[in-house]
Amino acid sequence: MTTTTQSRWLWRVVLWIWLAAIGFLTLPTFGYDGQVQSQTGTKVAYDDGSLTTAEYGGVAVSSAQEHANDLAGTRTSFAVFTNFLAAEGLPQLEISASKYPDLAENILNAQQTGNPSLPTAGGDIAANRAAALEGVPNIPGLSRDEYPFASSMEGGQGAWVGHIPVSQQNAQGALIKNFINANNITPGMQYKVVIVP
Amino acid sequence: MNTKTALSPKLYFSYSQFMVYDQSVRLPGCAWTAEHTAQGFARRESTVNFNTSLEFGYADVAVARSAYQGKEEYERVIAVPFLVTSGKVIVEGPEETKSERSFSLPAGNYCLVAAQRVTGDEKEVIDLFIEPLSKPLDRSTVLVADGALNPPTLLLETAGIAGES
Repeated sequence: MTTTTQSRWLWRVVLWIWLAAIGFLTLPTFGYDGQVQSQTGTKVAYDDGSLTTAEYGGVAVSSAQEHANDLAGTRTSFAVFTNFLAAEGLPQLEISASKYPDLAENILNAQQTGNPSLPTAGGDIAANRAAALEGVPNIPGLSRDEYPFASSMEGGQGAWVGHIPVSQQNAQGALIKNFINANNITPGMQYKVVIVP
Repeated sequence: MNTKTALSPKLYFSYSQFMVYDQSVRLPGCAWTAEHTAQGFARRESTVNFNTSLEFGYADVAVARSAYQGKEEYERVIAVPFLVTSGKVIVEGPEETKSERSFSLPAGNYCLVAAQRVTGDEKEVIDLFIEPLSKPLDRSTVLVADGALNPPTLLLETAGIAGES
């Protein structure tokens, strides 16, 4: 009698663990509808040939269609999963790749090399900008663009710096201003930076 | 009144621009295009994004409630139509988060002139002249263009809202 009861409880525990494992493997797919297929170095390949959202901290993931066909393929790293959860509900600064291709590529490259996609407002802007741009030459007709933003706490020394057309740099400044005003961004607030088509 | 009033604190401009806008405008950033950059500004009815000569830095900003008074040292001068509705005008850099730098102005149509000159490494002087008009100014004008500007014959008088498709 005692053995039978213990056996039932053992099977129940095994069942619970199995269900929890399945749940963990599939959870990260709930919010993902992007099309990023693979990454090599600092470049990204897209499964439909167009630039699209990459909001998982620069970690490669499979396409939504592949998830449906391959259960094992749904498993993303724990870091990606926690990043996904952390990003939920945060204000989102969207950079359009079709309107601002050089700007979008620069930010994407920065994120793929480990710079955060969830920066925090409240950096020492002037000091961060000076540190980020130190030793980076000016190129006539282009503007130096650093990421993470100088206005973020993560900005400054070691930031990724690329050169983009001045008009796209102008556009970025206006985007940031509207993002700050629309979301009442204040120091200490975390937000999400994503590239959209 | 021809006297200039200095605005404080110093303005931190970046992304090669600063903004002048009516307090009623929630999203003052304009959707810049290459054409806007070539002419040195992007504007809507009650907001203007002016290009700066430098990429970033600090600027001493002063306002004169009068017609533009030219000076040889100005390197870039642009006049635009400007509508005030709220009675308060804000002058800000793109990354500044507090609207502390502002001045009062009765509601109405104005000619807004931004005159700039570089005074040092990462330093500029920006003088704003704002003249009341009985009717809206017809067109913007680039009064003084430095080497970075290449304004078209017909200036772009409209711009979208940055971030809105």
